Amino acid sequence: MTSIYTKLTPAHRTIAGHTRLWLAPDHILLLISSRFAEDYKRFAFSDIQSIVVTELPSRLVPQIIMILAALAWMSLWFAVDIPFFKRTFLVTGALALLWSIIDIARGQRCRCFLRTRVSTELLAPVSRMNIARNFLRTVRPLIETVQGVLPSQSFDIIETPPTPWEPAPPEIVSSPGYVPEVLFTLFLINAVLIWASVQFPKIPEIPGILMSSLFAELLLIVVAMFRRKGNDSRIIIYVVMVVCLIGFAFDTVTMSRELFGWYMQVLDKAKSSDKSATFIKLFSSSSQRTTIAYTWRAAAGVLGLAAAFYERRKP
Amino acid sequence: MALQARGLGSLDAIPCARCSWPVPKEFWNREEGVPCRGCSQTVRLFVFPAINDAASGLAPEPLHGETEASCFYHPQSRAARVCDECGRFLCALCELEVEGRHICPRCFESGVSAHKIQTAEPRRTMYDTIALALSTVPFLAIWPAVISAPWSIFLVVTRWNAPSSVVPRTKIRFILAALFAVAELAFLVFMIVLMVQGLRRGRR
Repeated sequence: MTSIYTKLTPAHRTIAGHTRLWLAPDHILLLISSRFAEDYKRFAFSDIQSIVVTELPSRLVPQIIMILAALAWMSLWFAVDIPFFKRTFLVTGALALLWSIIDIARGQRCRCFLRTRVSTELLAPVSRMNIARNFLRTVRPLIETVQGVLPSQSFDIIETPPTPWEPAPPEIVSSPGYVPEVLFTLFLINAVLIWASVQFPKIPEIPGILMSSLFAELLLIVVAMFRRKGNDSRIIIYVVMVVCLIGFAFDTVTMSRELFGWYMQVLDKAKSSDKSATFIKLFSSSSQRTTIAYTWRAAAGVLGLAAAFYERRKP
Repeated sequence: MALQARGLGSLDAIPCARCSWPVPKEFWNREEGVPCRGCSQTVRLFVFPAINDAASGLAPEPLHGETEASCFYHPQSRAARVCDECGRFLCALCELEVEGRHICPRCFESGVSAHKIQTAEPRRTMYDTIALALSTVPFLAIWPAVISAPWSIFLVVTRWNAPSSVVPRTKIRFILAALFAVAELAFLVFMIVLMVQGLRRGRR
């Protein structure tokens, strides 16, 4: 049996399946596929009352963070000597980088609803503005061919209930929270811990604490960035955070090298039946990289805290 | 006429797709889009004349005399059409226009269940994808092929002509499923033969 449908939009894919819009001579078909079954929702051109497309906020900050994280991950290629790990870091990092670039290239995100007399349907495949423009360019003339054009004078005849958009909605009071302040304090603590781990290499607890606190540092940067949207109007502190991400990537390479060196040392000792303890090291005492690690953290901590308090007080 | 008076209670106002804040009428049908009063995002709203349509369909007419034909399903209503499938008289309420034909609700129901009315089916099962999944699962571990490969071949044979998607779709999944399943079965037979030969040699 020949199909009456032609593709209207690209497929919107998820783990569970995909959705796509198809065009028929007299209706639009929304196909919802769960891979093993397909559900169909049809919208006759004569029934469509309205189409709403709203642009969604830009995701540039998370996209840039993702690119930086992918680059940092790929840079671990320099930190390891085993070819398998080199390739693993390179390939997985490149995939993450590619995904981020494709996400940016796909353009502005949007959300689209189609409304008929009896239903309001989210059109998931219309998720980007360029898709929405093509969709409207194709569909609007077809609907208007069937229904005609609604003259703007007739809008007044259509009576809607008293509109709540007058007066304007109350302004949402932003509550930026104190995650950035906690993060910059943690930078200072970690700077002290790095310095202490180098000065007192025989205390194995310091690198142990440092591992957790460095992970918390990364986690807090990500949380602070995501919480920023609509909550925090401060700028300088987030610029400092983005710069800190580069520093963190640099330190990740340093720590990976040290950990790999420690691991090889353990292996050598095991081969030679040496039972003496090998203390774990994240930063070498002789390396300039260590000086850089605690210096940038101290600087970022002081600068970040100062900027956070200054920008919070600013009217 | 007010929309609510026409029973269009659902159409309280047309909201923004992000924040559900109502879009004022003066911003309707603007190509360039306008900032939403609720979320400040650019919103484009296109309204069509169907927004003025009445909610309900046609009401059936009552019988005026004994000589008039009545609806098969509603004996008190005057017949307006004849079902194109079964030939029964139908009133305006029972008549359904589907793909250019006028049919009764019963013929519509049987047509949908028999996959004869393509534009009214709400769901279809993709047997080709199921067959392909069954034949590719053993790539992870060969032992499920004992069950899944014959099952996949069974689906390919029995569902080859079953209605597939309403949108264009080839038979490639069925073909791949059959090829993979046959290859897996051949491999299993080969392994069994090798094991039997090994056992025989061991006895000698």
